[in-house]
Amino acid sequence: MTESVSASPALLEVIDLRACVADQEILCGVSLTVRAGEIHAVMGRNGSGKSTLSKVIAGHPSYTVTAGSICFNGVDVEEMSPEERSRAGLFLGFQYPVEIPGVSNLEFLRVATNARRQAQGLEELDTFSFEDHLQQRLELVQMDPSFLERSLNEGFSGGEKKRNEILQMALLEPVVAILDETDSGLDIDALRIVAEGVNQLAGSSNATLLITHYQRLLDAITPHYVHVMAHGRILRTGGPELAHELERRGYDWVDEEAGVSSRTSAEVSA
Amino acid sequence: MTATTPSNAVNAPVASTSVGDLVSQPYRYGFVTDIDTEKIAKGLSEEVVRLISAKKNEPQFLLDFRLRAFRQWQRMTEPDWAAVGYPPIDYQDIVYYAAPKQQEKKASLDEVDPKLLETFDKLGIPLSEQKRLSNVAVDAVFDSVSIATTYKEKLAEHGVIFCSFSEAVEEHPELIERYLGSVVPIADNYFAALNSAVFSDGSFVFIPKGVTCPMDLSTYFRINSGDTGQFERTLIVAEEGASVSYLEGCTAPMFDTNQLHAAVVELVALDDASIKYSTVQNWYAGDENGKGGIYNFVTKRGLCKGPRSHISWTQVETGSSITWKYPSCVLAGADSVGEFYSVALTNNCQQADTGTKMVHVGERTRSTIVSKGISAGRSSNSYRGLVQLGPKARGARNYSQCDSMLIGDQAAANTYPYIRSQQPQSAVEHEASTCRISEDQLFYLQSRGIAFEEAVSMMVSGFCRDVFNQLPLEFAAEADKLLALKLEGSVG
Amino acid sequence: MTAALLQRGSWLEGLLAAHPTAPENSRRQLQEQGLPQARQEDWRFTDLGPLLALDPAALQPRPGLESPLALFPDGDVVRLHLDDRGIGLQPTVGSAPLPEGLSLEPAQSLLTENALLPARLNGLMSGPCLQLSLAPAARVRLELWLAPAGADALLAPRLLLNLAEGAQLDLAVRLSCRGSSLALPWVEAHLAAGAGLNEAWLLQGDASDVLLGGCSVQQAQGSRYCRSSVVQGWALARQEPQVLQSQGAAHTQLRDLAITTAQAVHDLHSRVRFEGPEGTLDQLQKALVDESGHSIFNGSVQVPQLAQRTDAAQLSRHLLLSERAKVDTKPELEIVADDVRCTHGATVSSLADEELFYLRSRGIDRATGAELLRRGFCAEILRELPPLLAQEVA
Repeated sequence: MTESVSASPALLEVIDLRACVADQEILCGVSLTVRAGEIHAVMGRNGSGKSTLSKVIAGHPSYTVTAGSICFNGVDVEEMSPEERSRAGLFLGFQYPVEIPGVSNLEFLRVATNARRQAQGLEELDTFSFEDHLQQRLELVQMDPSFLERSLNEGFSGGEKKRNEILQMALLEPVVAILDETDSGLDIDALRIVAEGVNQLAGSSNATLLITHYQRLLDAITPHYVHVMAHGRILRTGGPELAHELERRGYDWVDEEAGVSSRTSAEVSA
Repeated sequence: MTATTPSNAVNAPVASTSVGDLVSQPYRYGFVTDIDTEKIAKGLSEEVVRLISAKKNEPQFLLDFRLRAFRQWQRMTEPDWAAVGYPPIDYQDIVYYAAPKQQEKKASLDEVDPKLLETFDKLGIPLSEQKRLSNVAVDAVFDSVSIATTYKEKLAEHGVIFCSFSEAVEEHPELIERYLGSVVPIADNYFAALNSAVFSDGSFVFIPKGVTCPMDLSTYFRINSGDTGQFERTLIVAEEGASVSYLEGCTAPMFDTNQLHAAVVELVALDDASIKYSTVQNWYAGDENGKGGIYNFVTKRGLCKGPRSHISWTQVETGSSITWKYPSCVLAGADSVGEFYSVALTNNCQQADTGTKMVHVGERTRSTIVSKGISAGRSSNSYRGLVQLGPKARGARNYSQCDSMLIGDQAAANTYPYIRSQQPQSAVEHEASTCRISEDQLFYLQSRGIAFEEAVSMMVSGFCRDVFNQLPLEFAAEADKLLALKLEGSVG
Repeated sequence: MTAALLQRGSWLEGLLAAHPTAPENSRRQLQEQGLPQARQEDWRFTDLGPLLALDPAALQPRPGLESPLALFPDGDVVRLHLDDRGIGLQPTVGSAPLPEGLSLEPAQSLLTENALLPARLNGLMSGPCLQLSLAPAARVRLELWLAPAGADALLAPRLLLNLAEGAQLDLAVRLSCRGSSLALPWVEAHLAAGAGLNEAWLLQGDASDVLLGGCSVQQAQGSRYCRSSVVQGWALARQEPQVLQSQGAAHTQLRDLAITTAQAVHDLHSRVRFEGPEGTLDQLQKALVDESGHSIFNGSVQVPQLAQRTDAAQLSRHLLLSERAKVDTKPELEIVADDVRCTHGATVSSLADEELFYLRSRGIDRATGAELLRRGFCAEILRELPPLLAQEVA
């Protein structure tokens, strides 16, 4: 990546990653390095492989990694289960958070928080102290406490689900947060709340990877780097201005470039 | 079945649009062909079974097969679990063999009795060289025998065998012996046993390894005699990597007595083979008071024997007084796929109990069931289905959707889906709903200038869209028209 | 005669011999009809083996235990438990005074010719009985603790409930058996216009116990009937709730959960019939099937011609968790009315991979996640029970 910030440690290193689902290759050699204090955005059309990238990093069992590697905090995650990755501080904000009827949101948040705290060497929080702990974070996402009493994501609107994702992120205090299309389906207010949450949680020791389709989230969160993905590869990497260019010109020119040099990788173009 | 319906029949002006204004369209195929027929005496006995076999010059194995079936049948009782009712059938009052009098085998179509050719012309299935359909090979079955098969030579060039069952017994006895009864054993059910004992003719299809059949194959069944049972037998075998699309059509004259039709269809798909079987069934349904019509008691089953094989049933059931029919798939090969798409329409006093069985045996087998039942008049329309996931069907998936549309408040729609699972690593999902054509919807369409009957027909075909999409193109258009015709005047 | 038939016959004879004082018409009906055969569609999947394994001569009423805790958290609650003879009910310490219209005297149920097997068997026995006739607009909360203290118990509670217009009864029952026992709970209820009946049942048995229970409920216009049941344990537990909306325009809610583990066979055969327009049904049947359990569901919904504008929804959801477990489910919808909304659905699956992944991606390990999902699956029905009753579900 760019020389000036390369001094800070790499938190996430994806090297020539290939992955497939049901024998179909979706990621065809993706390389990406995210360092502490950085915010990256991965942009691309539907089907470009950007959501797959986030799921593979989080360890989704439907995808098989066929080549390459993912290092998180200097550790190869290949052998790590999804829960181990989460406890180590990797967070995936889902594009479509699943609804789980019957499982109380509050209980889920407490179990998840304690799993992470245990991994961090912190003491577990009992019901009482957890609610205190939770209270401050609720304010961050401006979420109505009544949502805690409900089943996990069940009957939540699109915006409520996304706020619940950011709430989880706030509770789990990840080292690297990957937010998959967190902006999709949000109205202006919800988008602002989500963006504020992300901005507040971003610090010098952690990093954020935004997966998005549109510019509008990037108006509220300014990334250090923008990567353009198509056909399972990162075709170009640039600064925030690249996002504006995409907004202005659409994605067609990316395809044209891809046609010319389909083997372009992030390193080459950076 | 590929006949074009005269357009005035569909768009006939309708004077009134009120409920119960039932002016059902007359059945268009109800005529009788006046032709000399050779029939054996009514009744069923071991002698009759031997006589049928002798008439057809059958080899010993087939006679043995028939006799075993007959003895089995004698020990069985007629099933009574279906949601249909009819007076007891007198099996001794049925003629088990009838054939138009003509020489056994015709060298060319020109020698076929012109009356028969004319009959099929009238049914919209021209058989002569000049007029025959260009993209479909047809086997025409009249009462108990196959009278002609088109495009045989062209198919032979590709190694495809398409002929009447009798011919296949003569020319390919080894294939018949190998596959007959391998999917539907003689003791499978009462009507299958009866068919196995007395079947007369039917179609045989064999697609050799790696061959994609160059054209659609079709059998057209015509019952002509009033007291004759029709017991045809169809066997389709697709070898490794082969594929075929097969269409079946059927009509019968209008009699005020009931005729029994008890057919058996067996499909075998080996590794990577694919068979698509489509039916548009338009047997005579009886009059508006339920008098006459065909008892359609049919056993259809496909065996996905090889891995990745694929069997798809599509049926549009509009005729018959009673339908008792469950085209099924046994998914034995790993990753094999079974599909069942059905539209069953009942009007007046018709009764249908139809559905499918998807038996998942192999790993990662998948099945889809889409059933659309439309009940009008005083009819009864039942979906009955079984989805079974055996202990070894790891990773199997089924999705079923059964929708009923009720027209008028005297028709019955029943749904009886049976689900049996013994495999935790699998998923079964069944959904069913009931709807009607609402006045609001009709008003909306009418307010956009669409005529009442057309609006109804649009909504019905919309309801059936998922199934019609599975039909070969010309069949789909025909099916659409057929439904419109059958429902004419039943909505208001 | 087949061996199975002989076995059924001699078992029934044994039972009748052990109850010489049973009402004659009940004896006769039971003798005529016999025990059901696997040939009968309604009994196709249900193995009566566990019933036949019980010794009919050994089955006796056993003294009841007193309820250690109140099921309804507060307020005036009539609390009753099985008495020392095992055939009567007596007030528990802390019970509200018995309300008007309540009788604990033996009572006969009205057996019709085509009564269900549980009703017939229940008709042989002499209790415990409870008859409750609620006056218009009366409100009663009632809890029953039916727990025989020993094994080889015969428990045949019979509840005859008559709710006048606008009356409201909340009923919570905990029934539990302790081995080689036969439980035959039977409820008959008449709900007048605007009446409301909430029933919550927790039915727990040992791995050798058999439960054959059910109810026959008639609902007038504007009445509400809500039944929730949780079944756990047992060798065989079969429930046959039957609801008739005699004029339509009533609301029926059925919530049934079976936790089917070990060798248990859990069977729910429900039937809801609408005999008038504008009735509603909301039915959810769930079973968590693990180990060598076998869950059976048959849910019949009948909507005849006069039941226009019926709105009926039925859902059967099975969680199948073991290679040795088995599920047979069959929703059954019969409609002869065109202006209705009837839906039914059935699913059989294991824990959803996506749900499990979501939990794991939040650091929750597979076992904890699976446990959360299992509990979540059950919670939807458990929350319909009074919380203290739900807590009894292990």
